[in-house]
Amino acid sequence: MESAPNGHGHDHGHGEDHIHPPPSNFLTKYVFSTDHKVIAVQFFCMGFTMFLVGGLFALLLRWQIAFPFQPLPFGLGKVIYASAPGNTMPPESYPTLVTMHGTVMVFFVIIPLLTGAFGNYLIPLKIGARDMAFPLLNMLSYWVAVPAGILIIMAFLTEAGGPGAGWTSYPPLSALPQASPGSGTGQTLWLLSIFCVGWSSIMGGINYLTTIINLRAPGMSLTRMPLSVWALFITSVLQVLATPVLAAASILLLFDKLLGTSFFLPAGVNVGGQAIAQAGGGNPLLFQHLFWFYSHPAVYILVLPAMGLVSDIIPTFTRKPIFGYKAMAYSMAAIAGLGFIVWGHHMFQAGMNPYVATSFMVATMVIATPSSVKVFNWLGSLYGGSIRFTTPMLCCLAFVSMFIIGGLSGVFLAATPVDIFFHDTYYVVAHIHYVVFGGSVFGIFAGLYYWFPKVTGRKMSEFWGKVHFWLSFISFNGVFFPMHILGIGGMMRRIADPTIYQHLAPLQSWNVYITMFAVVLGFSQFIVIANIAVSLLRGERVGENPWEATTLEWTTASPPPYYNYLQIPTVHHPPYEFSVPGMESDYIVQSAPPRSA
Amino acid sequence: MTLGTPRLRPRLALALAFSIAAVLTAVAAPAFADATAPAAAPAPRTYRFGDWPPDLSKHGAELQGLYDKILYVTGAVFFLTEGLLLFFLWKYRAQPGKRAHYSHGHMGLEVGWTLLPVVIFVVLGVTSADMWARMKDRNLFPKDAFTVKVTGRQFEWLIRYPGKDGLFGTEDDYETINDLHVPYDKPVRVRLTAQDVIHSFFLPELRVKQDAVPGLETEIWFEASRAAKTEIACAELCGLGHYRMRGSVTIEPLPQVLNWIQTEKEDE
Repeated sequence: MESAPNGHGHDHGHGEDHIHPPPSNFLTKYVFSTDHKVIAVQFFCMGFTMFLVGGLFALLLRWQIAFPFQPLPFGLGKVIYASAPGNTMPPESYPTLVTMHGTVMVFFVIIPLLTGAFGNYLIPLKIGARDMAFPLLNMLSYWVAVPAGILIIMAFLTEAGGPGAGWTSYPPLSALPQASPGSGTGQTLWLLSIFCVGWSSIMGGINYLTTIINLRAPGMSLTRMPLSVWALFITSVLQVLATPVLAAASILLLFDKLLGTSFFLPAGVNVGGQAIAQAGGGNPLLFQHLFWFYSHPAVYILVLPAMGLVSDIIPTFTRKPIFGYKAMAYSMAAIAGLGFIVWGHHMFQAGMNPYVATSFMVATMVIATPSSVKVFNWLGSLYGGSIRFTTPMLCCLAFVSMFIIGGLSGVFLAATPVDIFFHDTYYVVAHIHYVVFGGSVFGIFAGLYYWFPKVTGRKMSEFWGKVHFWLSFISFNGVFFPMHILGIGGMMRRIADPTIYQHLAPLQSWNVYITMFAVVLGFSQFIVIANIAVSLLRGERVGENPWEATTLEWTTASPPPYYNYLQIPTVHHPPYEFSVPGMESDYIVQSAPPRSA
Repeated sequence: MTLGTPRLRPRLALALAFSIAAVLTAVAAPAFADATAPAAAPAPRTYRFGDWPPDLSKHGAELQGLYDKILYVTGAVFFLTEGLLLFFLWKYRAQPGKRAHYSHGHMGLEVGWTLLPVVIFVVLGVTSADMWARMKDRNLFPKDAFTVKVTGRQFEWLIRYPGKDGLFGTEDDYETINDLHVPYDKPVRVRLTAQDVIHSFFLPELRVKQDAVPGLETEIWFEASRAAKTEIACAELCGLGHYRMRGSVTIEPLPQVLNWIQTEKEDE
């Protein structure tokens, strides 16, 4: 650690605590910074930019589904599909857009925003540390994510076509350029990008674990940690244990593509009458097992930190302690643990032994329990509160109510016989978006509105926050609720034109309706961008603790100084001491002096 | 927040204008498309909110029954939790002079709402296991089934009938593309594989789906309940033509199916 520039980890626990001056060089201050707060903002900017890119892909998809192969409105087709005949979507673009939308949203929006941005910003501040345990590693984890982002955009722009095998990239489709134009260079770049982003994720996870275990301020016992820190701790365990498996899967697939191996290609594979010479001995299901062994835990990487953020914000605006703190922490640990033994539920119809599927079904049913415990605890946290309806609170309530829907729709998919019909239909699309958009993205919005004053020293506009919230909330439901109806109607995922099927043609008006709301949902996001921009310059200035909250980050200046705390705080209280009887103030910050017994 | 303050009014107006513009954009969008759209094909059946596709299978009712059972349980949970949420939001809204209730939780409640879901979910799981085994365990498949081999390849379904002798790989096998003829009131067994990439054999109106994987033979069975025409769809992304990987299914009496196979074979 001696070699780490500006490392503070070694200061801690050695008695003497000195403060380094902040870097004065522009490059080390804002670009190659080792300050967790700057890295967090860098992750946020990258994640939010990619959110717009992924959203644009979604809108192009939605247009195609509602109005198959018709020109885009306002002559946009001339720009977007400039080289395509008739300036309409070429058939090979649809799978590419499907792939890019999923990949960008999972790997470059939700994970970087939740763990990269919020994780980085909040962990040291909330546990009372000056920085991460490994500041240089922290910087590296960002600077590996950047080339990953560049690679994924390059993959998309590849001349032969972007990757088109879905975000799941199942071989043989993803392995054979003969089978899909995007499975050549495009898919190779995709794999390299995923490899880099996984690497970044592992480096982040190791850093968070070390920081949380070693750098907690005096008095910050594990059971006094805010739930967001618990959530990020558990998420980091998932990142560190699961991501190497994804790395293995992507390297094996790269070997199949570049070195002529055959890990995933069985004998006799033949594309368009042309036998594939290298094929033999491999098994396509092996990739699915490896991929989902990572990607199911990854679903929890996508939602656990948001659960943590929400659990932190709700007590502040109900003015009462979180209901069942320990149950909240245990249930997250249970979700993470069980999350490792449910991956097979993505493969019920893939050709596994049906009795293996049954055991995965039971595990999946059981994992619904800790999730429902969390929901009941959030409800318990509202009970008896004094609820303030601020924008961050509204986003938290959206998180809870939408997560309920996303959780419940999962039960249908977990039941194997019902899944025979619903697998790979829009029911799955509805389910994942209720969890990841209704859940995680609203959790991110909540965090954005809540911690923006801490990061910038200025509050975002509450009014425009509420406009953004209501437009997003209503149009979100307008987009994704009808997808359950489409699922029941039997509409397959990832099809470019549903109207050619006799069982789907009568459902087409739903697709038009969904696309309308998708346009509203997409454009509503410009409100939050404008709100960020205007609030940065003209937002109301706030002090240390504008929300009257209790956790440590609210005891330092807004924005916090380079070294976070002039003096490392000592913690005397649990994280959510609101409305303690017999006290004049209705909150006690964690580092307040102990009450006389 | 009152709507009347002069400082707020211009912002409110702007917000309203934005919302209206957003909604108008959404509403106007189809108009642009319709201008160039070919006349939509007439809907072949009337559709009501939340309909499943018509059910031509014998096991469909049981599958939907299980769906309904889960719907009742999850529906109850949905109304209970969302109802309580809304009620609490109203009941415990911040009011001047009213302090929040200081409490860290309740052990009995925690244990209760942990155990209850475990029981419900495990019961749901066990209820599902039996039907699942019947549908997918080939040792439990009906013995006297009408069997076909289906091979998925970009972007069509290769269908192989055993012919009169009931055996595959003999002279009288008949192979066709995208044209599946099966009997009703008799179990149909489909032996699936794929030639190039993974496909998924989906018969929405017969309520079956099974991936077709290269290098692997997977199987599915069903029993149709009446004569009808329906479709095969591909449910696993298989390339740029995935969306049009469609086959036709003709369900007719067994003698007619056998007759059709023989006639087609002779015409070859």
